[in-house]
Amino acid sequence: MIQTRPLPEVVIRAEDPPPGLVAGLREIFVHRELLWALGMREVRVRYKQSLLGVLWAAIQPLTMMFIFTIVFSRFARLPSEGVPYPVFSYAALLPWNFFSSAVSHAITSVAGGGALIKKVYFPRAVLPLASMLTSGVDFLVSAGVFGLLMAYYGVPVSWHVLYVVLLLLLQVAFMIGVSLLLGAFNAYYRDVRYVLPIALQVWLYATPVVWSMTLVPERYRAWYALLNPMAAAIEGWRAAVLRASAPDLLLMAAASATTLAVLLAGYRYFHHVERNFADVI
Amino acid sequence: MRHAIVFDRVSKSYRRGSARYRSLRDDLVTLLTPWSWTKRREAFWALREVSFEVEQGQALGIIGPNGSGKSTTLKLIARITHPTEGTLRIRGRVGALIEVGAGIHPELTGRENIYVYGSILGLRGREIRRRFEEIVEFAEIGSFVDTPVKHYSSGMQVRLGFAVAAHMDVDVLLVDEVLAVGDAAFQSKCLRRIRELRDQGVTILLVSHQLANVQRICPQTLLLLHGRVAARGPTPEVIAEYYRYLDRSGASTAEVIRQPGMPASRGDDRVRIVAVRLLDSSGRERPTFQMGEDLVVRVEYAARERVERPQVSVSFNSSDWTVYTGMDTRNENFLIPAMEGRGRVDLVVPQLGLGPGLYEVNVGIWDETLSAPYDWRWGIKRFVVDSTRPLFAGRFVLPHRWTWQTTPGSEAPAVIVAPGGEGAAAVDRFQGALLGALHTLLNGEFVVPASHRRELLRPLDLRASRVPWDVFQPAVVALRELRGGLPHRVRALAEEGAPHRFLPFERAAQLLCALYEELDRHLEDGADQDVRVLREFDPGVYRERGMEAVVRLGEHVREALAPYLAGFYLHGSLSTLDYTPYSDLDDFLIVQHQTLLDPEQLMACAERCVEAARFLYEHDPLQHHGHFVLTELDLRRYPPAHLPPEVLPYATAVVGPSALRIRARDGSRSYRRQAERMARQLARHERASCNVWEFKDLLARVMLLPALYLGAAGEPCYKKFAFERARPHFDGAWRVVEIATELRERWSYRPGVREALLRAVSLRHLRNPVVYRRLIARYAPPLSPELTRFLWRTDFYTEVRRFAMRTLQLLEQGEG
Repeated sequence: MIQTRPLPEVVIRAEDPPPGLVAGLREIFVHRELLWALGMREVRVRYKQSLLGVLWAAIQPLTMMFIFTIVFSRFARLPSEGVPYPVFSYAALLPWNFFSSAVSHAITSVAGGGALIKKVYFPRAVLPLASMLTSGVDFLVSAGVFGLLMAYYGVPVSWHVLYVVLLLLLQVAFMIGVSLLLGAFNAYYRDVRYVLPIALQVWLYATPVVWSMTLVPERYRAWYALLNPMAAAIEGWRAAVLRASAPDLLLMAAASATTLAVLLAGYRYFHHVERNFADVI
Repeated sequence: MRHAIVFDRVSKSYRRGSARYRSLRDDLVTLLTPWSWTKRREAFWALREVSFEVEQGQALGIIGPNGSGKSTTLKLIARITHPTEGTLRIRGRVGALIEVGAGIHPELTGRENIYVYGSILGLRGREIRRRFEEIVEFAEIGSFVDTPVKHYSSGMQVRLGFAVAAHMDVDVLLVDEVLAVGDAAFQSKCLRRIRELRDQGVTILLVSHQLANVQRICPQTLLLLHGRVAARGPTPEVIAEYYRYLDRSGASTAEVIRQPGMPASRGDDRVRIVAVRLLDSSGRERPTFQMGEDLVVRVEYAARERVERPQVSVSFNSSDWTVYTGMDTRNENFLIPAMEGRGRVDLVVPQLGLGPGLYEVNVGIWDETLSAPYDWRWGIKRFVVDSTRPLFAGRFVLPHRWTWQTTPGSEAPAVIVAPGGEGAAAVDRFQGALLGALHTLLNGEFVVPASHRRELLRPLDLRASRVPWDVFQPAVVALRELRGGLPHRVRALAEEGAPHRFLPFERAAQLLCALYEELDRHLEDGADQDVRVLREFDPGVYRERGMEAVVRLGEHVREALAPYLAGFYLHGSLSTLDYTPYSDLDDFLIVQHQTLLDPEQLMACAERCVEAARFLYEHDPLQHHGHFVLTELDLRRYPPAHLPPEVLPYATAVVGPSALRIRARDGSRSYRRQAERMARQLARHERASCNVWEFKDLLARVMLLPALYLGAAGEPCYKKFAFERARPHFDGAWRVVEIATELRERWSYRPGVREALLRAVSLRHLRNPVVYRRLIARYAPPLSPELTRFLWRTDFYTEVRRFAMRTLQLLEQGEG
C-alpha cells in the first residue's frame, strides 16, 4: 500500500547521548495519559477488596497522630507552639506521610515494573511519577481529615493557608528528584530497597514532625533547611496553617536550592541509565 | 519504496554470567580490588553487526533457533533496549505484540484493563473509547467486561491482551510468538487480523517458531544464526536454508548436545550403535518430515560377541529434554533372538504424529531385562517436523477417529481421508479438472446458454439438455497426459463431443463416470483410512432468523440427495445478509464414490440438485444459490484442514438477478469478453451514494473477476477454486478481495429489510428484470454510515479501480 502521509523517522544510534531535558519532558508529556492510567490503576488496586477502601489513607496518619500525642505530648511533654498537640503533629504528618509513601513507592516502582519495562517502550520516568500520583490521592483524603480535625479543635484558618500550594510544589519537586535518583539506583542495586525503610525512619525524626522547629537555634535553621528541605516544607506548613503567617523566606530559599540540585541530578542520572533498565532488571 | 526499518551494523551485547542484577557489595568489592579491574566480564553478543532493511508495508518473518537474537531484534525496534553499536532507523509508530498482556492487572476488570493496557501500549483514551466495542468483541469477553480479570480463564486473558494490542493504529507491528497461545480458533483469528493489518499497509515483523505461520504471513524472511544474519530472501528459500542448518548442526552436534551429566554413550561395548538413520517411506535419509508422513528409525549395530535377546529402545525428545515418547522392544514383545556381527533394527513410525518442531532421537541397545545398556546414545540424531496444516494446535496427534450421526440409530456415512502425501502432479491436475466438470454438472449451469435465474424456474428436462464440451476437455487432456493415451470408452465419447462442442446430458454423465473410474484406478494405491465427518447442516441459526425456506431446503436436500451424497453442508453466508437484502447460500456436497461410477445415479443426483435449487428460488426469489462439490475421492487428497469451514470463505457467489449475465462456460473467448467488460466498468467506477443492493452487485463483480480472468487465460475455472489460483497474478492489487471478505465477516444481520423486500417482491417480479430492479432499489436502504466509513477508511473504491486496472492489464498481456 502506498503511504500518503509522511511518517516521522526515529534514528537510534548506539553512541547517541540520551535526549536532553526538554525532549525528555516533552516525551513524558506525550505519555501523560499513561501516567494517569497507571496512577489510577494503583489507586484502584490498592483499595479493591478492602472494606474501608480509601479511608485507610486517613486511618494511618490518625493512628500515628494518636501515638505521637501520647508519647511525645503526654510523656515527653514536647512543646507544641500553643496549638493542641494532635493538630500540631497532624499538620506535619500530612506532608510527611505524603513524602514517605510517595518516595518509597516510587523508588521501588522502577524495579517492580520490570514486566512492563521489558515488554513495552515508554519513558521510564512515568513509573515513579505514577506512584506519586497514587500517593497524591491518599494525601488528598488525609488532607480532608485534617480539615475536620481543625474544625473539631477550633483552630482558626486564615488566607495564609494558600501558601500550602507553593509548599506542595516544593515538596513534590524534591520528591521527584529523590525518587528518580534512588529509583534508578535501585534498578541496579537492590540494596536501596532494604536501606530505604530505615532511612525514612531516621529522616522522620530528623525532621520537625514530632517536635517543633523552635528547638533548633535560629542561626542554624537555614543550614538545616539546606540539608533537609523537608524540614523547611513542614515548618512552612505549620506557619501557614497553624500560625496564620507566611513561611520563612530564608528557609524556603535554602530548601529550594537543594531541591533544584536534587531534581536536576536525579533527572540526569535517571535519564542516563534508563535505556539499560530492560537489560538489568 | 521507503524503508520502515533500517538496521545498520547493529550489535547488542549483554554481560554473560552476571547475576540479573548487581548488588552494591559486589561492585564495591570490584572497586576495592584494583587487580580485578582489567578482568572484564565476558560479553555475550546477542546481535553482531546485523544489517537489513524492511520496506514500508512489507511483512518480514524472522526465524532462527533459540538465542539467535530474534527477540533482541524486536526489542531494539520497540526501543525497549538500546543498541551497543550501530544505528537503526524506524519510521512511524511502532506497536509491539511481545508477550501480550504484560500490563494486564488481575484485580481490575476487563474494562479497566482495556484502558490501562491500551495506554501502556500508547493508545490515547479517545482512541480506546472509539475502539472499545471492537476490542471487546474481538476478545470475545462479552458480558465479562466488568468482571475482574483474575476470574477470567487464561485464554480470555490472552485474548484480551491481544485484542487491545491488535487494535492499535500503528505503522510497524512487531509480533513475537504470540500466536503460540490460545486455541486454534483464536490463533486463526489473530493470524487473520495480522494479515488484515498487513494489507492495510502496516509493516510487520513476525518472530515465530511456527514456520507455517511465517510462511502464511511473510513473503520475505530473515534467518538469524548466532546473532548474525544468515539469510534473507523469499520465505520458502530461507526456511529451506534453516532446515539445512538444522540438519548440519544436528549432524555435527549430536555428540555435543546431551543431557547435562549424562555421557553421550555408555555401556559395556559388546554391542555398539554404528549409525542411526532417519528414513522416509522411500528409504531416503532426510532431516525434515511432514506431520503424518511415515518415518523409519534405522539403528545399525555391530556386535563384538554374540548377545542373546537384546532389547532396543528409541525415544524422541524436544530440545528442552522433554521426552515425548519412548518405545522399546521389551514392552512391546518384539523379540530379537540374538545380535552377532553387523545388523540393523528398523522402527517404523507410520503417520508421524509429532507436532511441528525440532526433535532429538535417543537410541539404546540393552540386555534382555532392559536394565544394563550395551550402548546408549542420547541425542544421536535430530530431525524437524513441519506441517502443512496451517494451524496445528498442540504437540502431537493422538490416534483418533471421528464419527457423526444424523438421527438416532442411523449410522452416518463415513468419509475416508488419507493424509496428503506427495501425489503425482498429473493425478492432481486430472482430479482438479474432473472436479470442475462434476461441479458444473451438479450445478445446473450447463443447461441454459445464459444461466439466468429465470431459466432455472422453468421445469428442466435434464435428459434433453446438453453440456458444453469445454467442461470436459481439461479432464480429458489431463488424463491423456497422465497415462499417455485415452481408454477406449473415453476416446469414443470424446470423439462424439469434441466436434459438436456439446454432449447430451446422458453421454456427459457416462463420460464423467468413465473418467472417475480412471481416477479411482490411479488413486487406489496407498489411500489409508482415517475417518472424517463433515459438520452437519444446522437449521437452528436459520430458523432463528426467520429463514424457514432455508431450513426446508436443508431438509429437502437431505432427503432427496441422501442416496447420492456422503456429506452435506449448507453454509449460508448469513453474514452477507447484513449489508444486502438477500441471502447467499452455498452448499457443500460430498458425492459418494459409488454415485460417481454409475451414470444413472449421477444423473439422478444432478436432477435432484437442480430441483433443490429451484425449490429454494421458489421460496426465496432473492436467493443466490451455489454448490461446492467434493467427492469422496477428493477427500483423500484434501488435507483435513482444507475442508469446511476453512474452505468456505473462498467460495464466492455469482449474484444479481439480471446484473451479471454470466454465460455458460463456453470457452475462453467469452470469458475474455466478459472479463473485459466487467473490468472496464469497474475501472470507471466512482464512489457514489448507492444502496445496499447496488453495493452487493459491485461486490459480486469484484469477487467474480478473478474467475473470469482465469477463464480468459484458458484455465478451466470454477469460481470456488479460482481465488487462490488467481491471487499471484493480482500481485499488489488483491487487497480489495480481502476487504470484501472482511465485509462478509463483519457486518451483522439487519432484520426487517429482508422481510420487507420479500413481502414486496415475488416470483412474478423476478421474471421481469426491470420491475425487479426498480422494486429492489425502492426497498434497499442506503449503506449504513458505519459501512460507508469502513469503505472510506479502507480506500475500497480506489482498490476496486486498481483491481480492475490490473485485470485489464493482465488481459492485455495475455493477448500478446
